[in-house]
Amino acid sequence: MNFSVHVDAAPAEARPSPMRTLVLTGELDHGSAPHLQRALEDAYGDRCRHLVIDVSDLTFCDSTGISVFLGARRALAARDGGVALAGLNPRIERIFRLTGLARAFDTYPTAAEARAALPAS
Amino acid sequence: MDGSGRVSAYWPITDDLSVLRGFVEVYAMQAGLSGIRLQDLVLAVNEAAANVLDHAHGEGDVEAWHDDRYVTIEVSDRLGLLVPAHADAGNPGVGTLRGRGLWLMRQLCDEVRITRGPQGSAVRLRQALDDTPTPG
Repeated sequence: MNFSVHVDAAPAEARPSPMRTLVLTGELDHGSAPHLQRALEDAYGDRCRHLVIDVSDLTFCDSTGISVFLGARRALAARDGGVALAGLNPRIERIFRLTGLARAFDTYPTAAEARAALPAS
Repeated sequence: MDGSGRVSAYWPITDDLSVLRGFVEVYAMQAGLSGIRLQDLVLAVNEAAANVLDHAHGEGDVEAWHDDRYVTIEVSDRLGLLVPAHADAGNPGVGTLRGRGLWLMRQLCDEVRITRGPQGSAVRLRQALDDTPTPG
């Protein structure tokens, strides 16, 4: 399965941190969504409140992946935080637009811009 | 290939949907689909097969055929939980985590039809080969 989740190790995100960046690569689907779910649960365990998810190298996303994104949005909203999505490529943007996700999340051209827009913690 | 409904490709459903997507993409491309409409059909088949994994014990298969007007992909299970009315599923909206597969298939394909018989249920996904949306 061609999918990976990379936790961005920016210095500002030393654990435990209210902010975390996840960089997704490859195809997010029924088989790979549990990998993302585990990375999200790690982040919740580290008291993460603000999540930036870089999807610029995500080549496929199905409704299982969408369920995971929406679950993250719900989990972090319950902590007065949120999820920002960065780097939507045309393929991902189409599925996000069709399903209404593009409106449900704050989206940014890059992860750096998404981080810069977060409230100071 | 002759428009008679003859099955011209067959794949079993396995846990690895990326393999199935690859088969479907090559098949539909060779039939004449390209671009977004090709990607949309591949995603719709993925959704139907994911439903088989989630709701029908993962037991099912995929058949494909085409003529000079349509590519048709049929995703069948052995459980038969789907009935024709499920094809009219509404958009669950972003407040609901799951259950958007069938609605999404309808956004992606020209035609989504569910049949149910003694063998189980089948979701038939059809994409026209030209860009003109087809009625009914």
